[in-house]
Amino acid sequence: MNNKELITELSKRLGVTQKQVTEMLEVSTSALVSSVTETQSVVFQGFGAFELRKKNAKTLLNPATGEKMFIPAKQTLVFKPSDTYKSRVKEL
Amino acid sequence: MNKISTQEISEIVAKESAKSKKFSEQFLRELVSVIAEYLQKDGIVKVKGLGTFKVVTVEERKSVDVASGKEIILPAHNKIQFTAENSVKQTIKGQESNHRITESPHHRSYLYWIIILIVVVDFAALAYVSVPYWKPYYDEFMNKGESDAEDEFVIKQVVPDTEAVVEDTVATEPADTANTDVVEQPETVEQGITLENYTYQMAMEVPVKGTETVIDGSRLTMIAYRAYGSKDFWVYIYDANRDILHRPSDISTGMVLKIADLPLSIVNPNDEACIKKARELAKMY
Repeated sequence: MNNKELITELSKRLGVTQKQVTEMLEVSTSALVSSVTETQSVVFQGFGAFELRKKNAKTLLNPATGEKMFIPAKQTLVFKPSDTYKSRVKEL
Repeated sequence: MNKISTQEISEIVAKESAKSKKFSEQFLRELVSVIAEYLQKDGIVKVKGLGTFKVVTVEERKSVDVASGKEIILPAHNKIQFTAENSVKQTIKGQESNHRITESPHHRSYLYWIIILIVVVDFAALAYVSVPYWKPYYDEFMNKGESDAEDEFVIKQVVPDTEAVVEDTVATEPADTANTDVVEQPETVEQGITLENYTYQMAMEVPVKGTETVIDGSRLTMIAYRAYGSKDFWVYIYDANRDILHRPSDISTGMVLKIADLPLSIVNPNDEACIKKARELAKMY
């Protein structure tokens, strides 16, 4: 499912226009991202949690040129599915 | 770790979107349920401004039970993979510097230069060493316009019976002219030949200093180059072999050509006059 399909599905379920859904989606995602960076965890019951995770600094070797690359420590957004949802998806 | 739930985030969304809190909460719940539903159904859901959710299959693998130490097989299963959008990654990375420090390995570039140097030196040496091989072809190429292309044959440098031939002539000549030295005799004959009075008979009369067997592929000019040091002197090769050659182009594979022992006054490759004379002679054929 891509973003377009998501918007049409949401507008159908909520009974609002696609334009409104697009706006709401924009606000929601930015609010989610900023909340995560501030408080470090946003939990959606029954689905999972968005968290910040620290990635340690590392040095990599470019296999083609043999160049050493130093990649500094950084934080990334990770999604941690809830146990109930995880087990639902687990079955093939 | 601080946690916030759907209620709290819907408050923030309501504030920012100027919509009711109820609608915001409803929207977020629907959003999550749609993602959850279609992730199971389609296996992939892309949300703009957030990232991509994906269901990936993990194949079964061996592992060890931590408690009992026995080998167990973890069955194949699906798991959820989430990749944040690049823009999200960038904003989260925030104040942390995002430029990579690279160390360039200097020793490598030195090695490249050394290899290039070796290759260049090798080629130069090869070109220098092979001068005797390509020089005749080079000379011929440079003088293509002046010399006729009639003489297309290869001659092989030879021949064991050279000595015998020379000895023969040396032995017979003194018989005619009285009591001169065996060695001196051919020289006096040669001395008589000058650029002005040269005729083709002379080339046939002077002693033979060697012979060449014609092999497939090269030419009179090449024999001349090897014999006299310039390919312009091919006329003298022809003149010396007029008994078997009716025209310069007559030569064929297997022929044994005589090389007349002409004095340096005629076949000096460094003398302009000699070369000029040879070219004049060449024009006659």
